[in-house]
Amino acid sequence: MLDNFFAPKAVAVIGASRVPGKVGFDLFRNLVQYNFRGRIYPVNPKAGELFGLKCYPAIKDIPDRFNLAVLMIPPKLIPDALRDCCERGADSAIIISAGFKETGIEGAAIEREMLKTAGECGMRLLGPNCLGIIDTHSRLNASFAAGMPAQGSIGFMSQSGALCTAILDWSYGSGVGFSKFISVGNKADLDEVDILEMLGSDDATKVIIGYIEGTNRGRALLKTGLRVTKNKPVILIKSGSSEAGARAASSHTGSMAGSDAAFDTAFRQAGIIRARTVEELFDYAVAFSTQPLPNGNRIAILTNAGGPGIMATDALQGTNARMASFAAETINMLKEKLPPTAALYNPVDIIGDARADRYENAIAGLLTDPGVDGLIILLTPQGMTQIEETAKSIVYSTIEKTKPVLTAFMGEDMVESGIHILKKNSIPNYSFPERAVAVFSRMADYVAWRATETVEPVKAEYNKENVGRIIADFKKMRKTSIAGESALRIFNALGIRVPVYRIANDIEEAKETAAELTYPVVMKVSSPDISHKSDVGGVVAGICDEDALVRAYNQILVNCRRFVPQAVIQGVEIHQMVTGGKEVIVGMIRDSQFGPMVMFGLGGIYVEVLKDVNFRVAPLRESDIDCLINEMRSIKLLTGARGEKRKDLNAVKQTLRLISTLVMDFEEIIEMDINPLMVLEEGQGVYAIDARFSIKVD
Amino acid sequence: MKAFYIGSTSEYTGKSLVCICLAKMLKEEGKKVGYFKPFGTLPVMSGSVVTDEDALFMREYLEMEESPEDICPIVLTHDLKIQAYRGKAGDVKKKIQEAYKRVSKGRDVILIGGGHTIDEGRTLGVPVSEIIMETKSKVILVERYDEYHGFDTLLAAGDRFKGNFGGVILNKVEPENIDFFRNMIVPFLEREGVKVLGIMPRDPLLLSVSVRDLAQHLGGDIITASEHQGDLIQNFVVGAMAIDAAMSRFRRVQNKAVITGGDRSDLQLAALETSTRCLILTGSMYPPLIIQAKADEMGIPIIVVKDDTLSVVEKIDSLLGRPHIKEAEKIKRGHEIFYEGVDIEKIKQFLTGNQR
Repeated sequence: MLDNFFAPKAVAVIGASRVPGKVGFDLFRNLVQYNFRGRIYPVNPKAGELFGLKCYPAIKDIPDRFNLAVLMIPPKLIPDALRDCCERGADSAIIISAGFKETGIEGAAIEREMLKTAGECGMRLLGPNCLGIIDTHSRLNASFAAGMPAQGSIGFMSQSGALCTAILDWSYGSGVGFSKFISVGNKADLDEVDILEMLGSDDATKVIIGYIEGTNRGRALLKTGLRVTKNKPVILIKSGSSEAGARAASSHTGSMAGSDAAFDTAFRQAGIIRARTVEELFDYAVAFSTQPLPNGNRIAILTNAGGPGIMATDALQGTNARMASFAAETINMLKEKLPPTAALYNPVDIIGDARADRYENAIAGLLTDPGVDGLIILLTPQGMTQIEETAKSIVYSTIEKTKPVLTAFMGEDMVESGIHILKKNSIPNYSFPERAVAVFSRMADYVAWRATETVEPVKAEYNKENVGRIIADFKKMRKTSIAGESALRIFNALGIRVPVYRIANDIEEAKETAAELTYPVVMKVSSPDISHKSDVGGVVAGICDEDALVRAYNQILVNCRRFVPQAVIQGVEIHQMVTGGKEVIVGMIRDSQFGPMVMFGLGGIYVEVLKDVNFRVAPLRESDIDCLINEMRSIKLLTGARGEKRKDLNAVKQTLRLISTLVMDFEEIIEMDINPLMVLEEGQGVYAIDARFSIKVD
Repeated sequence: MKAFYIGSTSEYTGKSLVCICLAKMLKEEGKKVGYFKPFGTLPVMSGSVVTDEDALFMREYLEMEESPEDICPIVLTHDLKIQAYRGKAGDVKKKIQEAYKRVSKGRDVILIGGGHTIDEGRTLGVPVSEIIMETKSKVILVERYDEYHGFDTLLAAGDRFKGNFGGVILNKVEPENIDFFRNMIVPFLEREGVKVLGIMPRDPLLLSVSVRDLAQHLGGDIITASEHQGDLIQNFVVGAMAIDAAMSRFRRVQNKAVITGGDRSDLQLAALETSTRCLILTGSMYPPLIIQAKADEMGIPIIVVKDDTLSVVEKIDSLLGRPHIKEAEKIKRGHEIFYEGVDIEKIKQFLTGNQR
């Protein structure tokens, strides 16, 4: 769909310049000097010839049709220029020029006009305010970057043009090759989702990496990511993860950094690997682009020194990767080939005097073990270590590329020549073992992710009509918060149980009601004017008899008079008290980028303190529900701690299904939570004890 | 000629709204309606003349030709009070009587707007009850109920006006309290001899303030989307917290103005992404250009003010104390609430004298 951006038959460069140092010069030179295979038409009213090519005074003077236009002219001239390009057949345009929405209201108006013109002409735009595009396969370098990266299989996109140039520069010495290089700029039209989609279907791209500061299409990113990551790994940096960083991002691109937790969750759900640093991004990218994927998560570590081996082993903690256990044949083989002082079990320590042949023998044994899914080779430069020979042996022994092999030649000067050999032969080397372990664990995670089947989201049955009616009533009253009795009515419609309760206008009614519901009961002030009843001392739980009831009644009304004197008090609510359960929280917040995110975790009054909650973007799939529950740190409270019986997790799951369905059905619900949701023993279900909904009224 | 006195026992209960609604209703009945406010409690300059804000508005709303000085003969200015303390306020009563005569001439119904209490005018030697008696007005009180103040003052007023007392409209009642009012409060008041003419729910829109009024009140400059300065703000949030906490609050609070610093671009963007009508940036700090562009595109005015956040909040507090019904959107909503909640027939009966 975006083919003409990357492999056009002909390109017009509007604003090509003969003045060195100008963007129009650098870009045009790049286009000419890297052997782009299509035709090139420079447009400049003053230049007669550029790099031996005839220069046209205006777009209309170009005699032939072209597919791609690259524009580097003042913003105000761009809409008309786009029309002219369209007349010459262009359906794609890269707007390098700056001076659009990043410069304020006027620039934003021009950007809108430009976008409108493009829409009318049926053109797609990249940029504005971007570095351009590089395609190493079609040899198109329509960028003003200094140089051309090596050909490779990594597709890179970036919201920061400057980061593009830095990474390009780094790539020249690293041996890393790229398939495509895309700077998205202001994202007036094409954004990270479009590029992801395109790179996803690009045969030359094996691994997609990128840098983003935010997105305006979170749900589309999630959806596209979910599809693309099943075919090839996608590794993204999302900056602005800290509060100060988010602030910097907001004034940089005017895009909301978004809740970092939301990005984390969405990336996980989409199978997108999140890199925290540029170093991580390339650590992962190099391994994914050069090594086969592992079949599982079992790693073998081979080292010539004990310390690094132990550190590598330590680094596995907290990841899903595991130390491999070797087959008897492997151990026998190692025993035969290695000196008696070597450690034969994982990590395999072939000790300090290991020369290349010892590495080679060990590698051969370890890679043939069916219980090993990948190998990390560590080397420290010692007196007898053969740096270059060992590197060559590694290259030679892993030539078949049946399993991923990562190396960590530790040091600087002494190991440099070895590292050079490894890089040249596409074997990733990391300066320290921990980085290699992190890379392997990400590869193993990705393989596990790819193996999961993408199933349809859950949909639960409930009385949608009734819920709709309650929400409509509140919208009509222009009330943004539904709590108390009305919230409980929503649960009735959902089929989530709530404790029985009644309103009592005075103490006599309260006594009768409590006796009827049977003690113990909970008493809450009944007043629509008081939204946070506990905060004003308007709730007393565990009332066991009439004396306590009278005390609670008086105390609640005294508290309310003191803290909210102007509230209209209707009386008190008497609730049946649910005992013997565990308190969890189920909720939802509607993220501005990713939409409804369902929350689950430990509930009660310590939610804020313990923060044992997790999120998933709705609609949930069964796998999301399982993850939400299992990720809870205090999950043992539900599965039976200290001899307690297991709690009703099926009822919890059903509640999550209902909430996922509800928040997808009703966009008006901005936020909601049930806190606590009381989970009783297995088979006995759950109770929504307290809840609140925030709704959008206009 | 009939006269209604629309008063209340406390301030800002919604008298102006009721006046506007009654005026519209009566006009639709084919009546020639006029407005009169004996004591101007909301001084405002009209040209070089000090008059009353309600009087000025109603004059325009009812297209009255009388001068603002006739519609509101006595404006309670500082100077007038000093004169009253010195015993030199002049013949206030006569001034009122003459103005009333001019305003009521040729009209079927006059709506007399009350001030902050039903005891106004005493300082000037003309208690409002005297005016009510002389003009034979039917008294309609617009009241707000809360647990703390109760109904004692209202019941006392009922006793005082006796035959002239038409009844009460209970205003600003939380919608979820309406049933409680119908079942508990109304029967009580009726038993006590106070006729309840209607219950009007609290509506956040009616308590809103326009971006224009806000900018004017704060002495700020609107730097984006000035075509949206008529938009109404219902809530205010100070943005000084961490972004996650802010997002949660911004999501819940709708149709709001967010008060924050020009350097908090993260909060400004967060505000733009939720239901926000306006940004107020303090300390004369302009936001990044890209955010200005975004706000302008979204039609959200940004007001840049000199004051610090605390001063802005104080100024806004003083503005919110006296919401006024001027904007068409508020008037329309006010009418809807009035017609839904008030027993129009009971009020019409006052005109024909067929009431019990």
